[in-house]
Order: sequence, then structure tokens, then C-alpha cells
Amino acid sequence: MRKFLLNVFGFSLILLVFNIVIFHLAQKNYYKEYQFKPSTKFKSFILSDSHAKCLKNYGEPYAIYNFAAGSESVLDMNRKLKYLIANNFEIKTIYFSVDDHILSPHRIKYGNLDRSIYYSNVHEFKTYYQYLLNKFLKYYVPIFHTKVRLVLKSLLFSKLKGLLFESQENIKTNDWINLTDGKRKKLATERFKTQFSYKKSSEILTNSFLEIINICKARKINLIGVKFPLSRNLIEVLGNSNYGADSILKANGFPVLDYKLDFINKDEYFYDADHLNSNGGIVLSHKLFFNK
Amino acid sequence: MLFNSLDFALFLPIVFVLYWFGSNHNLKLQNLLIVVSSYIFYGWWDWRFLFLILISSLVDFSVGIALLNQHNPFKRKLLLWTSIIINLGILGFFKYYNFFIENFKQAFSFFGREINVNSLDIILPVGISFYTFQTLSYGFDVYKKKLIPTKSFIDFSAFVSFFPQLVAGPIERATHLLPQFYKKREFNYALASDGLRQMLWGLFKKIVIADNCAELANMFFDNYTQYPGSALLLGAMFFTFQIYGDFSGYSDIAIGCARLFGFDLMQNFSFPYFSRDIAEFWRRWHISLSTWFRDYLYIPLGGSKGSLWMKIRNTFIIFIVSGFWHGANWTFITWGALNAIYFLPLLLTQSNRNNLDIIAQGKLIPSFKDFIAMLFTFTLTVFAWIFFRSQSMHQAFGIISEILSPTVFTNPKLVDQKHISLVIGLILFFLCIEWYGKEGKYGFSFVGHVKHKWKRWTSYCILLLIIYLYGYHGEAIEFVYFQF
Repeated sequence: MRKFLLNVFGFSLILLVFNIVIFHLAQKNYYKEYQFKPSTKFKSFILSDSHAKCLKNYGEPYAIYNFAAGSESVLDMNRKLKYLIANNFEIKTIYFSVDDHILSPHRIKYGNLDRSIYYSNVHEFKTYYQYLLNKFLKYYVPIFHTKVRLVLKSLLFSKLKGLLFESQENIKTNDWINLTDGKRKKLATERFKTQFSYKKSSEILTNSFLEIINICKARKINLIGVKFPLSRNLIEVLGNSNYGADSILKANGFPVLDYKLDFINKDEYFYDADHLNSNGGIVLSHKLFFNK
Repeated sequence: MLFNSLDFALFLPIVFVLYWFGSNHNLKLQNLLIVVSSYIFYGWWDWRFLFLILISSLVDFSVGIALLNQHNPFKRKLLLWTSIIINLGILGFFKYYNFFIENFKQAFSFFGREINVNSLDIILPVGISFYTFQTLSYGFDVYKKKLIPTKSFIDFSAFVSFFPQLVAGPIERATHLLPQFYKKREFNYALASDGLRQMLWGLFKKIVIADNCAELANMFFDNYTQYPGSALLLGAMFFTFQIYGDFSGYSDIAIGCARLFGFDLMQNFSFPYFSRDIAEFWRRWHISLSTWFRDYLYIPLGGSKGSLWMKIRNTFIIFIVSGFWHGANWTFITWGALNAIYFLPLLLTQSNRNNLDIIAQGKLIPSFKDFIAMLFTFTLTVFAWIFFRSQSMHQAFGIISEILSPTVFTNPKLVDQKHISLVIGLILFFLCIEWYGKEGKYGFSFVGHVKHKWKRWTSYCILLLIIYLYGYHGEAIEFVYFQF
């Protein structure tokens, strides 16, 4: 038994070292840009997916905190709102993304539930075990975390690819304006297919969105819907496709700021089909925060 | 609880420590711990169905005791039938009720009569077919006086619910497993370390081979109308490796896990895809179920003795029942019947026991004749799996007719070719390891015989790294055989 335990211990040590390496890589490449705790000085918050990331911290001088994150789903935003409430933030205004795709079932699968768990509390889980398992164990033992595995794997292979084909990689550029119209159309179509391949909006996301609306109503929080700008190519492909988050918000008496068509012929402000670049972000922040 | 889950990764070490260090090597305490941990293991999925295991255990334990004290042949038979009716009654209700209702309704409407019975929304309890057959084997063996019934309900419950093999086998015989609960168990280093090795191999089979193949097989089978024959053939191949990786992977983990606790479970798979004929395939595939049917159904029916008609009848019965055991669907029955058709020529020409040895024993490359025989048997198996995987006979025939059409020679033009090539590469790696290790009890067992420790450990680390990098990235997928 002693020999067996020593071997198991030795092997566990290898696993532990591996886990520590993965943990650090996960911190650097997966969690670092997500887990922020805003200061209590902020009174207004932007809850959105990657579309609001271009706004960076431009709102901070006006006590507006940008709480947006890439791949964020309504469920994640709901968690963040509850976190703010639970931590006694005095919330005046919530800028909430109500883009056409925001209630797409696609977001259930590719959201941030594993990361936004950082903002969750025990009441969200059926059992204390589930809470410990999801919030702490999966975080500190990332070798069992499938999404971390996927992120690190793609990172590893892209680094290897970069080492092997360095010269070719350097030529590539991601700026939307530099792409040919054909390439832009192709990318816009792919984007559309990813987000709008479902006939109906997600019931789970819709319910979560309604919960957010009710929380804001009950706490007298100004909830302002924001529709972020889209490129001409995407707008053309999109047509009337919309999962209806903006209509739900309007039906509940909250305003919607619609910038969807504002940059229609300004491809120089786009990073890709539906994300603004830094310059676009500055222009949008002026529109959003100063109503210019 | 799934073997490939974080829950199990926490559960196993806790039970292991309590078993060897918390019980002071007390046999009763160890058996009690097995029962409690097995009930937790099963209840993790749905605690409500624990009562079914409890009922099954109580019935067969009581029948066993009653049989011990009963010498009247008629009453003994009555007791045996009580066990059979209750066990198969529970199994029949949960697994086959809706199947029979639907088929009766269809049969009556064919003759212009309508019957007013509705099918029920029944949840199939995980592993019910496995533990039902295990408890049935106890009743049969006690009845035949091959086994003295136990007087300890704890021992018997541990035998019925032993968590490593509770939900997907191997289906253990009472004569083999139950006596192991009576003996004091000493920790055996060689057994336990080999067990861990087998578990690692099982995890590789499940997470890397089966789950990756499952994703692709599901894509082809679920959208079969959109693909040409070539793509569907590829889909059938993926399912062939999915079902093997999934089920034999589960068996490897189960056997390895049992070894950690000092138990020896029977081998369930012995490299079936290297078989040279269907008879050999069935000696190597799901061995615990095949031998169960052989001992408790085929032989009592007369086996291969008797007239030609009897041989044919018995062969069809055993294969069709085996198909039906897998699920209440005509697809499973057809799969069973098809295997009977494959098997019959071998039986009738008395060549079903031609290939009792290991293919290419002591050699790295098989003879041309063996290779062709292996390829032919594999092709037959792939064809039969199409029925097994299909949701309906309509789907199965749709897939087969497309495979048999000229579209089988067209380029499948698949979107995710990179991923498909990767999975094919992983399957080839898997087959190479299995081929190299085919003389052992499982593919990776040869690593245990490597002299240098650092080489062994490097092999484990490489396998773990492959699991980490190439394991299926979605949520943990349930084992296919859980549904049976």
C-alpha cells in the first residue's frame, strides 16, 4: 500500500504541477480580462457583450463603468446586475445592449457562464456542493475546465503556427476597411449565420431579460437600451432579423438608443462586421454619453 | 454519476481512503461502505430509482433464502418464477411498456380495431437491464444449486449495487462476484496499479475516441437526408468506433476501479474489431452479456444440439433477445436478427469455433488471409451498427439505400474536414495501440510490463496530454450503454 500511495502521490504531484501551469495560463489568457470588481464610486454601468468593449473606460469620468465583456449573454449580465445590488452599489442607470442578436439561443452555448460565476453567490445554486464545484473547484482545478482547455489549446496551436509560419502571419491584417468587399460580405454572412441560425429567441435568455427589467423597475433604476452600430455589409445580410430585445424593453416603458444604422457608410470605424475599432468607439462614446 | 466527471474524481478517492483506512480492514464495514457509496453513486443521477435496486435486492435475497430451505421441486420452481416475474416485470414496465402499447395499437388498427390505451411518459432508470440480469443470475444459480445463497443482506446488496459496474456492467455472475464479498480483501499493489492503468485507458477510449466520434456520428445520422452515401458510410464508421470506445471504455474504467478495491471483474471486451468471423466477434464483444445469454437462455433451450431447425431457432432467439435487451425498438431487434443471419452459416458448417486463438499472435503484421477475414467481419459489423444507431427502421433503410447508391463514390464535401481528419488520426493511433496490446487484457496493459519506470510514466503523461488536448470539448457525454 505504501508503494502504491507513494506512486499515486508522485503522479498527483505531476498533475498538480500541470494544473498550476494551466491555472496561470488560464488566468493570463482567459480570466484576466473578465474578472473585475468595479469601485463603489460608479453609479452607472454598461452591461453588454463585446459590442460595448470599444467604449473602453471613456465613461469613467462621468461615473459610468463599462462592465461589458466578449461573448456575454443576458444570463451573465443578470449575474452582474445582481452582484452590484448585493454589494450595495447605488445604481442610477444601466446601459443595456438590446442588439438584434442578444436573445439568440447561440449565446446559451457560447456565453460566459463559467466566468461570470465569479459574480454569483450561493443562492443561485441548488446545493452548496454545486456552488463549491462550479465557483471554486472548476476555477482552481482548470484541468477539468473544458472551455479553458479549448482556449489554451487554440492558443498553443496558434503560437506553434506563428513560430512555423511567422512571415505569413505578419502580413495578415484584421481591419475591416482593408478587406475586399467580397471578403467583407463573406464574413458578414458567416456572422449572421452564427447569430441567427435559430428560428426563435431563447426562452431562458428572454426570461432572464424580463427578470432584469423587473429588478430595474422595482429598484427604480434607469434602464436604457442600446443598439450598437453595424457595418453596411452586415445590415444588408441581416434584413429584418431580430430576436426582439429592443421591443421587449420598449413595451416595458424603457427607452432604446438606436445607433444600428449610424455608421452605415463608415467602414473605417469598424474592426469587423459588428464591432467598432478604437476610433469608432470614441465617436460612439460622444454620441452615447454627450448625445452629440 | 459519470466516470468522466469531476464528481467522480472527488468521489473515488474519498471512498478509497474510507475503504482501506477507515474500515480497519473489517469485512462487514467494507461491504457496508460499498453499499452506501454505491447508493450515493446511483442516487447522484436520480435518488428516486434507488428503491428499484432495493426491491430487486430484497426479492432475490428472500428468494435465495427460501430456496435454501425448500426441497419441494414444484415450490422451488415457483420461487424461481417469482424472482423472474418481479425482475422482468419491473424491467418490462420501465423499458418495454410503451413499445408494446404502440405496437399493439398499430396491430389492432391494421385489423380495423382501435384500442384506447395511452403510452406513458416513463423515465428509463439508468442501468436497469444490467442489475436486473445480475440479480437474475443469482436466482438461477441458487436454483440450480451452483451457489449457496448468502444470509447477509449487506453482502448481497453490495453484490447487486457494486458501483463500478452497477450502471453498465460487466454483468457479473453471482458465482464469480458474490464470493468475493465474503473474503477478507488485502490490498494488492500489482492489481491496484494495473487497475489505475486500465482506468486511464478507459478514459482515453471514452473522452478521446468515443466522444469525438459521437459528435461526428450524430451529425451524419441526425441529418442523414442531407448527406451522400460516402459521408453516411463515414458516419457509420464513426459510430462503430464510438460504440466500442464508449462501452469498452466504461468496462475498462469499471474493471480498473473494482481492482482498486481488491475485486476482480470479468473481462467484457477482447479487441472485437480484430475478429476474423462473426462467431469470434461475439466471443469478444460484450462478453458478460453474451455468456449470460449462452448460459441462461441458449443452453437451456438446447444450444447447438438437436435438429437443424432447433439450431436455427435457438440462434435466432438468442440474438433477437439480445437485440431486444438493448432497447425497445425494431432497430435493435433487426440488429440482433442480422447478427443471427451472419452467425448461422458458421454454426451450420461447424466453423464457428475456427478462430479461438488471438489473431497474429506474437506477430506485428497479420497474414493476408487473416487481414481480409478481419476486414470482412468489420464491414459486416459496421453494416449492422447502422440499424443499432438509427432511431427508426425508416432512417436505417434511408441510410443503407444511400450507402448502396452511386453517391458512395462521390466526394462527401464536408465542411469540417480538419476535425474529421484529426478524429480519423486519433482512431488510427487507438487501433495501433490496441493491435500492439492485443495479447493483453486491454490495449494499454503492455505498458505495465515495460521495465523502466520513467518510460511507463512518460507513457501515462503522454496519454494524459492527449486526453487533455484532444478530448471532446463539450459537456461530459453520458455513456451510450446507460440507456440500456
